[in-house]
Amino acid sequence: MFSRLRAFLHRNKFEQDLDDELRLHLELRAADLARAGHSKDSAERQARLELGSREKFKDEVRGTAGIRFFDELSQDLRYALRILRQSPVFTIVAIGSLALGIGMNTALFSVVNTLLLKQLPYNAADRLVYVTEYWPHEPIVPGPPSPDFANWRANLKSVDGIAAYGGGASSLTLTGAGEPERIEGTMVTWQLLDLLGSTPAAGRNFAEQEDRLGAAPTVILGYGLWLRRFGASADVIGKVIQLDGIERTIVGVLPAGFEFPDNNYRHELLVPMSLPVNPNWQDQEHFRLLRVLVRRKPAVSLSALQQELTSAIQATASEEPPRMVVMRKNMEIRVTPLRQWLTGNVRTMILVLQGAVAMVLLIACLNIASLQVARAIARKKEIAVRASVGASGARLVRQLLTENFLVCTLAGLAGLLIGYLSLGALRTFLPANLHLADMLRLDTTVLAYTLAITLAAGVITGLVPALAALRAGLHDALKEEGRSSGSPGQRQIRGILVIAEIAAAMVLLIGSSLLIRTFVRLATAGVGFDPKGVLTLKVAPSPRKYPDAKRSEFYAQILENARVIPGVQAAAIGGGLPLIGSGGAAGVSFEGRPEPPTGGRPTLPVSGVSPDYFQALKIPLLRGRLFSGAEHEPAVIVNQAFAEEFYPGENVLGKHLRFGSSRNWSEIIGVVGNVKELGRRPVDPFMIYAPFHDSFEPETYLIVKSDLPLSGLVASASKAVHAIDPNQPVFDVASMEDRLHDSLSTQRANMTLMGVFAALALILATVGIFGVIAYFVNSRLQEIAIRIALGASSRTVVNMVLSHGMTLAAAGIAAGIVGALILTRTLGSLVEGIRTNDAISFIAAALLFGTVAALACSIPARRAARVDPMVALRHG
Amino acid sequence: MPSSPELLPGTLDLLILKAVSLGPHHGYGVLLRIQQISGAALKIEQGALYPALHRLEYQGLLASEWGISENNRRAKFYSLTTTGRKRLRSEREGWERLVVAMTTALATRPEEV
Repeated sequence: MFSRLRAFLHRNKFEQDLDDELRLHLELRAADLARAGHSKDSAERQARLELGSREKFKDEVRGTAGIRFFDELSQDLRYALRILRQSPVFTIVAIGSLALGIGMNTALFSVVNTLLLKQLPYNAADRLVYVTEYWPHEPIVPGPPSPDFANWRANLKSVDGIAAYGGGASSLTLTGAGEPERIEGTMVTWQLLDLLGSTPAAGRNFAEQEDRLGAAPTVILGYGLWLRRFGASADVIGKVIQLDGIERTIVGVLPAGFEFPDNNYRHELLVPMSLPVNPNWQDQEHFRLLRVLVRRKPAVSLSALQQELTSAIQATASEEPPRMVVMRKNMEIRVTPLRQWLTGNVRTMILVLQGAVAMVLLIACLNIASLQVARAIARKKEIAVRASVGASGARLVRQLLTENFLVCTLAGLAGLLIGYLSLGALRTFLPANLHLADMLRLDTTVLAYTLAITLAAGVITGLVPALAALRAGLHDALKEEGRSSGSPGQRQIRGILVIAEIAAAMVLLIGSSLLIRTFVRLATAGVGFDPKGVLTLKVAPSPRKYPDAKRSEFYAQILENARVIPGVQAAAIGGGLPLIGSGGAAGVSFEGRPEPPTGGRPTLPVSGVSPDYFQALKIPLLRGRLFSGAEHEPAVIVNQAFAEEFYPGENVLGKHLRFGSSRNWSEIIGVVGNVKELGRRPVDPFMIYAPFHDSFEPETYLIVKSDLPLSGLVASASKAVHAIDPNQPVFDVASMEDRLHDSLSTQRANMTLMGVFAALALILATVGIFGVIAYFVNSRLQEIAIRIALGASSRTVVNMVLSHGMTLAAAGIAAGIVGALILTRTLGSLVEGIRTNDAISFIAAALLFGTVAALACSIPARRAARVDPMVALRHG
Repeated sequence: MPSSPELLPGTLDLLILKAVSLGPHHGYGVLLRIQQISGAALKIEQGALYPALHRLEYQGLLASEWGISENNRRAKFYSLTTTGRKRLRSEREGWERLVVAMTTALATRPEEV
């Protein structure tokens, strides 16, 4: 190939040499002829005659030297451009549909690449492992308890780094210079930043002693906070700031792009977690549930790591208090590599979507292949003529392939653009807790992928029709009429292509219909409350400023102020919120039942609420009564799920519960409806509501229901808080409608993407079937004309065409249903609450496709029925 | 040119290799040499000569070098490469076997069958 290229590039020199060589030959020959008695003129003429046409064999010589390859290529390209310009509709449809297919594949692959293939932006990320504990008797365990962490940190041999973060909310109020501000921070152990390979923008990371209990308080600023509050000045290192009333020395600043691996944690600032040095199960004050991240040593396997973690815990099991022993009975240690941890729940969905777009691209290719087969047959005469004037078979195939590669190259370029533009849209579709989504790029891996699928598309769309055309062109063309519908073989090829297309589109249609129906069921199922016109905002008074009794009073005052805002229908306080969960949890004892050993009581969610909570959210009262706000005896309200689980078949009203270490029994005075957690958990969570002044929630939501526009309401609701304490920040402000919308965002995104892909597949397959049937009619005009001339009714003709099209459609639909039955089974394990054997989805998809196919066929069918036999036969 | 037998397909290459093996020649020289060694019995299409020369060169059987011809022109001289020499030998053995086989076949008399 290179010598050919060289010859091509040096063609001027080459031509010159060849001319020299031939001129010498002519001169020598003429001289010989002259010696043999020819005149000078006649000798030269004779010499030229003997040598023959210079151009002809110059061409042959060029062919040997390989220049012809490139000459022909540029010829093919020029010819291909001309052909494509001649049929603009085909060209636009072909390039457009391929570009869409390639573009969407590119965009989705960039997601796959970022989430599943690319190196994570952490130091030795492939060795980072999350350690979690699974306790069978507890619904949710946020992470291993701090004594386990201390134990591991002291004893593990198979890791070269261990760190923890989280361990409870860490919103801190920054006071001092300027406005007091609520800042979202996270507690970390000293090694975390080193483990993640984070280099500070200023100052240093935490040092080893700084996370010990009793160490001097320090803080690391987030980059954003540093810019905003401290003007990015390097002088802040060593300065002291007040956080929740504690003076902390600033030791460093996080780098600009710092992210925790999971987005659930904030990094406006980091404070060291104060942990006892030795595992201490008795110290309840510093007991925390943590996110634990370790870096295993290079040679250590996951199972060996898990083994060591487990045996370390077993060694200290005897020190655990009985409560923990009961709760952790049969517990398991789980180790999850970082990437799997981050992408576990979206991984499969993304692969499914990638599969779906690959299918769309395949459909587009099959479509073009089938149109090309039809065109190639229509071009049979042209091909036959070219074959008869000496174009070789290989040359003809190359010509057709060149055409397709031209289409594919243009489509690939357009697809790259589409992919680039749709990256932004995809980013918003990805679950928000994956900050990896910010790293979406079209990098070289993605570009290589795009190139590969473009080439594959070129081969699929080009080779089948080229071979079909070659067979048709070389063998039958000159013998047969150029108008026949092709040999049975080609009809078969086109039939199979269209059936495959329809089947693939059916799979997508059924898949997306399953997702849509699941989503609709989720979204329209009663959520158990009415989000309309409800604004919620969070207040978290500092425990120092507002100790228990004062806090309760503070909440009551806020409530007073909120109630009198004009236009407000109801105002309430709630420790938790629907969709967010309870404010807290407590071990619960049931009156009249044997008390389990210490620590053996079930821990159940408890939310402190004000009396109007249920009216504001329109949570229905099923039995009993609501809080009056003036209960003399301790009282609670439970939800239906609680009543059914703990008092099945009994009247729950009048029963008594006891919480935590409290000695007082609380009477159950009412039962309210369940509040659903859409798309999160299949079962409704239990809920116990207690009067808010009994629970002293550290954080609480102010809930305001009104028919005022929300924008105005935010200001007046904030004012209700600031009127009492101007230094008290309000945050997490959102309407319940937004919260509901957000809680379904992942499902909505999946559904929307699948829906878009399925719609595209449907359109492409429709174009495909239309093209094939239109061609079928075109190629049979003569036959149809004869039938009409012999008295066939237009009905018969329409039926003939329709039955041809519908046979193909039916075969495709049947194949699609079988394919969907197999492929959608994977969806069952991915999507909560999906019913993969949903007959309605299958039937609806089949009907939709049948109808669309019938419509697509009816246009050419009507045209066939209107054929004028005289015209058709005369021109036939 | 006197009428002479047409070349069998493929024999032109063999003749060229043979002619060049006797010493480097330019294109016209190769033509003359072939006529000379075949006693002018074989008819060479002059038009076929140059494509054949270029093909053999492209295949690496011939090497070429620019020099000066007897009439003081720039001329391209062809010579045999090692591969070309090997090819000539094997082609020649093949040709001889063919000749023997053909001769035997054509000399067959009815009683020998």
